[in-house]
Amino acid sequence: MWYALEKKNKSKRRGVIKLRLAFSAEHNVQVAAQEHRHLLRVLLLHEIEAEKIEKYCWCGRWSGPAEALILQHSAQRGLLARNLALAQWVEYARIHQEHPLSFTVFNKLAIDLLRPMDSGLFSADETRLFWDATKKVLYSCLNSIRKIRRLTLGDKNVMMQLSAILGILSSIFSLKVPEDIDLFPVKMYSWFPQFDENVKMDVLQGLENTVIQSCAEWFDYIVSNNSPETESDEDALRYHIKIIQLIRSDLQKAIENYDKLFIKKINIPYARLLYIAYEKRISDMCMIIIEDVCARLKRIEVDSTDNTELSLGTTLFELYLTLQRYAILGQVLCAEGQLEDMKIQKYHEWFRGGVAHWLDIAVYKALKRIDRAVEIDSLQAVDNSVQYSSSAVDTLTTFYQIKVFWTQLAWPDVEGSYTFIAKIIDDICKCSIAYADKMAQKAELTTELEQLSQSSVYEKKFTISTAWCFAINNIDYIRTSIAPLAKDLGLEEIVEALGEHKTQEEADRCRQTLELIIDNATDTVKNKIIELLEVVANKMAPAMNRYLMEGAELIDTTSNAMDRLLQYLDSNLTTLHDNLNEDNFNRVLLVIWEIMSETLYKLVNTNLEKRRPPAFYSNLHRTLHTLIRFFNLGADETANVQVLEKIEHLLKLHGLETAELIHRYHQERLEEQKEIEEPIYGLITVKAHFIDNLLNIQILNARNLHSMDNNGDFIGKLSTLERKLHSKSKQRLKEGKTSKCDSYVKIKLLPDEKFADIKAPKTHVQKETLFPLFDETFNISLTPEQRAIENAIVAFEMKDKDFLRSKFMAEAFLPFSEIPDTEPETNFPTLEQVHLKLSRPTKKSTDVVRALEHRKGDTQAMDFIAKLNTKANSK
Amino acid sequence: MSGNNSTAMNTNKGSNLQNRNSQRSTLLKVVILGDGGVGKSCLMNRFVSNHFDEHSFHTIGVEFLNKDIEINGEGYTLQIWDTAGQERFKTLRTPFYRGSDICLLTYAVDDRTSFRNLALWRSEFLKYADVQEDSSFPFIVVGNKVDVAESEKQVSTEEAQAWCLENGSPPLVETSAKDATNVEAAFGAAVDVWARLEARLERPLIEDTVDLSKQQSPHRSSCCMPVSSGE
Repeated sequence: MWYALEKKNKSKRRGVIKLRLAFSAEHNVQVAAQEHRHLLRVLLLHEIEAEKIEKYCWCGRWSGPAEALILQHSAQRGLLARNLALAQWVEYARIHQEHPLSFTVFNKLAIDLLRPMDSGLFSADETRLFWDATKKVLYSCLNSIRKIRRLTLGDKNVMMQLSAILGILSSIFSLKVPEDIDLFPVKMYSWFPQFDENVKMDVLQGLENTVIQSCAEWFDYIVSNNSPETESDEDALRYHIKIIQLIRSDLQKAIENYDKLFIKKINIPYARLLYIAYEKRISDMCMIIIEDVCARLKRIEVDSTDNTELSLGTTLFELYLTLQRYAILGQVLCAEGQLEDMKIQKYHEWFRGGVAHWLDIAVYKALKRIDRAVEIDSLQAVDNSVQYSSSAVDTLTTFYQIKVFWTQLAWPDVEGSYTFIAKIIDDICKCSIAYADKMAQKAELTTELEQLSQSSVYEKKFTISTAWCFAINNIDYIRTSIAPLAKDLGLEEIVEALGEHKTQEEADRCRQTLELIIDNATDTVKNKIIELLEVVANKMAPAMNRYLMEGAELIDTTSNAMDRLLQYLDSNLTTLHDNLNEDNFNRVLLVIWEIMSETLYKLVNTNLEKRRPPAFYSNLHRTLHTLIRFFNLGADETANVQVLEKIEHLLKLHGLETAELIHRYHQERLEEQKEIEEPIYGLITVKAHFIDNLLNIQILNARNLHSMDNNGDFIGKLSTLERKLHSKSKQRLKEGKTSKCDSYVKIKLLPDEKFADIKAPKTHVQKETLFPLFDETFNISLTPEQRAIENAIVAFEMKDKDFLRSKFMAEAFLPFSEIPDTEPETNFPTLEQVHLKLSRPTKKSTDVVRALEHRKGDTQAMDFIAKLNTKANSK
Repeated sequence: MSGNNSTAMNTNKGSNLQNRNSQRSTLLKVVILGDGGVGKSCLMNRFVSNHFDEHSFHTIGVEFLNKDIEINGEGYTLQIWDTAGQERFKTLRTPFYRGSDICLLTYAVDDRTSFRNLALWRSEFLKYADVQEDSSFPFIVVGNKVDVAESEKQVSTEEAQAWCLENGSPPLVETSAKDATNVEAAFGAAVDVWARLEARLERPLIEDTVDLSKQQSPHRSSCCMPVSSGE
C-alpha cells in the first residue's frame, strides 16, 4: 500500500511511500505469560471483590466475561496449556496468600503441572516461578493441617478441601525438588520442631512435622484450658485423667475422620503419628505424679472412717484404667517395633506401689460389704433348692467384685500377676474368716433372742437353731467357692505364661505355691467351721451332762432320763440334719459325739471320787451303748474318738461287781504272764487235764527260783524296773550257790467265790533249793457248774516256807481253757509238760486296781487290795 | 429317733480328724526376709521338706509352704511366706508383710552386704507390716551358709550378736540350709520368741513389774546357738 508522505502545514505531498503492513501477535512467550498472569490477577481480584467470594470458596469458576477475556488472551497469545496452568498456579498462589481459594483448584493444577514439570518442559525461570508459588501453596496446606482441629467434623466441603490438600502434597512430593530450593525456610516454619538445617526436608517430613506440631499445640491448648480444682493429689489425678480423655477423644476423631484419608492420599499413618506424639507427652506428664502419689499412699485401715485414702486410691485406679486404654490403643495403631520404646507400654510399672493399695481397698470394701450382707441376712434359704442364706450369696458376689477388679487391672507383667493372685487368694481367705466370725456372732444373737422367748425356768437347755445351721452352711458355701474363684482369677493362664516367660520348673513351683495357698485358705475356713460346730456342740453339753447324770443316778432302769436325752439329741440332730448340708452334718455329728464322750468321761471321773455304786457306772455303760447305736458309729468312727475307748473301759470296770473286778485283775495277770520274755522269777512245770468234772494236776518241778532271803531288803525299796534289773544281776551272782529257799506250791482256783468250797491244795516243802522237784499229783473234783465257768483260772502260788510263816515268792496262771479234756483212762505220762513263767504282781496301778481302790467301803475290795500290796511288797 | 439321721451318719467321716487336730494348734504367719541369694527359699525348703536344691532359682515374688511343729508341748501351724529378695520385687513382696506374726531376717555369713542390709529389711518390714510397737515384734536373725569355709566368712558371730543387741535383741541363729545345721532350731527359736512375747502381751498387768527381767532373759538365752561347723 502506498502512503503519501506529507509535512505539517504543507499541503503539498512530498512523496509517496509504499509500506507493507501486517498485524500479528507478539510471540514472546515470556511476555505473553506475564501478561496472562497479570490478566488473571486483575480479573480474579475483581471477581472476588465483585462477587463477594468467601475465603476458601473460589474453585476456579470465572464469570462469563472474565472467562471470555482469559480465553481470548490465551488464544491470541497462543499460550500452551502448561503455560496457562503455570500462570494460574503462580497467580492463584499469590492471591491465596491474601484471600485463600479452594484447595481443589490447586489440586487440579498440581496434577496438570506434574507431567510438564517431570519432563522438564519449563524453562529455568518458569521452574523458579513454579517452586516459589509452590512454597506458598505448601505453607498454606501445612498450616491448614496444623489447624485441622478447627475444622468442622464431618462437613463435606471440609473433607473435600482436606482431600485436595493431601492431593496437592502428594503431587508436590512426587516432584524432584531442585537443589537450590528450600521448601521449608526456617523463617516461615518457625513452629516446626527444631530441625537440622543441613538436612533437607521433603514434603512428607514436613507434613509429619506439621502433624506432630499440631499435637503439641493441641496438647498445650488442653493443658492450659484445664486445671486441677484444688491442690490435692486426688484433683491432680482427676486432672490427668481428664487430659488423657481429651487427648483420646482427639485421637478418636482422627481415627474416625482423617486417618483413612491420609493413608489413601499420601500414605501417612495420621492417627499413629498423633498417638506417638501424644504418648510422649502423656508419659512424661503422668509418670512422675503417679510414682510420687504411689510412694505416698497411706495404708487403708479397716476400722477407720476416713475415706480420703480410699477415694484417692480409687481415682488412682481410674487413672490406671485410662492409661491402660491408651496403651491398648497403641497396640492397635502402632506397628510391632514401635511399641517397645514407648514408655506408655510400661504404664503399669508406674503404679507398682499402688497395686498393694488397691488390693487393700478391695479387702476393705469386701469387709464392709460382708458386714452389711450379714446385717441384712434374715437367715432364710435363698430358695428351696439350697441351704444357705442371702449373706453367703452376697459375700461371694463381693469376692467376684475383687475378681472384676483383677480383670480390669489386667496386670501385664506375669511375675506380678502371679504374686498378686497369691495375695488375693490369701485376702479372700481372710475375708472368709471375717465372714465366718460375723456369721457366728449373728447366729449366736439370733438364737439367744429366739430362745429367750421359748425357754422356761423349769428346763433351760440349749436347742440348736436353724440360724446356726445357716451360719455354718453359709461359711461352707464360701469355703467351697474359694478354689473355683481362684481358677476364675486366671490362675492357669498365669502359670502357663510363667512357663513361657521363665522356665517350666519355675512355673510348676509357682503353681504349687498357689495351690498350697488355696488349700491353706480352704483348710483355714474349714477349721473355722469346725470351731463353730464345736461352739454349738458345747452349748449342748450342759443338757447332755444333766440327762446323763439323771440317768445314771436312778438305779431303776425304767427312768425316762435316757429317753429324754435321746429325745433331746434327736430333736437337735434333726434340726441339724434338715438344715445342714451333708458334709457339715457329718462334721457336727462327730463333734457332738466327741463332746458327748468327753462329757461322759468327765462324769465318770468326777464320780469316781464320789464312790458311786457299781450300778451307777453300769447304767452309764448301758447309756453309752445306746448312744453308740444311736449315732450308728462304725468301727472307724469309734476309733476316731479316742476318749471313747477309755470311757467304755472305765465304765465297764466300774460297773462290775467287786468279785468280777478281782477276777478281771487275775485275767490281766494271765495276759501279763504271756507277755513275759525273760522269766526272772523262774519257771514252774506242770501237767493238767480234765476227766469230766475232775481236774487232775501234777506239779512236777520249778527252776531258777528267785531267792527271797536276805539281800532283798534294799531291793524292795527300789522301783519295780530297777528291781527287775537288779535282780537279774543278782541272780547271776547267786548262780551255782545253794540258797536257803524252802519252797512249796499252793493251788488256787479262781474266781475265788465260785470255788469257795474247794480247799486250796498245796505241795510239800522242798528245802534249800532253787530247783525244787515236787512230783505231786492233785485230783480236784468240781461241780458241773464250776467246770463250766469259762474264764476260770488255776493259780499256782510259789511260797517260801520261812521260820515263822510262809512268804509269797511268785505266781503263775493256767486258764481252764488251756487244760485239755481227756478220756478217763488217760494218765500223766502221756500228757505234755506245761512250763509256766513265774511272776510277781507289780505296784503298777492299772484301771482295775484303781477301780478296786475306789471302793473304800467294800471289804472284799479292800481285802484284796491289802493282799495285793503284801504280795507286791513281800521280799 | 429319726431315720434320716442314721442314713446320713453312715457316711465316712474319717477324713475330718486330721483337720481337727491341726485346728487345735496355733496358726502363725512367718515371713522370711533378706537379700537375694542368702538362701531364704533353701531355708524354708529344708525346714518344711528337709530337702536342699543346690541350683535353686530366684524366687518369683513369693512362695508359700506350711508346716506343723511342736514347741514346748504346744502345737503350731506355721504358714511360711518366703519372699523374693531382689529390689525389683519390692512392691510384690511388701503386701505380704501385713498380719505376720514372726519375721526372719536373714543374711549369708559369706556376704557382708546382706548383713549390712539387715537394718533395711527390718525397717522395710516394720513400715509395711502394720506393727504397732516395733520393740515387741518377734524378729529373729538368721545367718545362713555357715557351711562355707572359714576363709570365706565375712560376718563373724560376735559381729552379728552385736548388731542384734543394738536392734532390739532378737535371737541370732547361724544356720546352714545345705547341711541342715540349726534350721529347725531357727524356726523353733522364732516360735519361742513369739510365744514369750505373746505371754507377756496376754498379761499386761504384771508386765510392768516383770519387765526388766523379761527384757533381760531373751538376751541371755538369745545369743547364738552353738554352731558345730565353726571349727
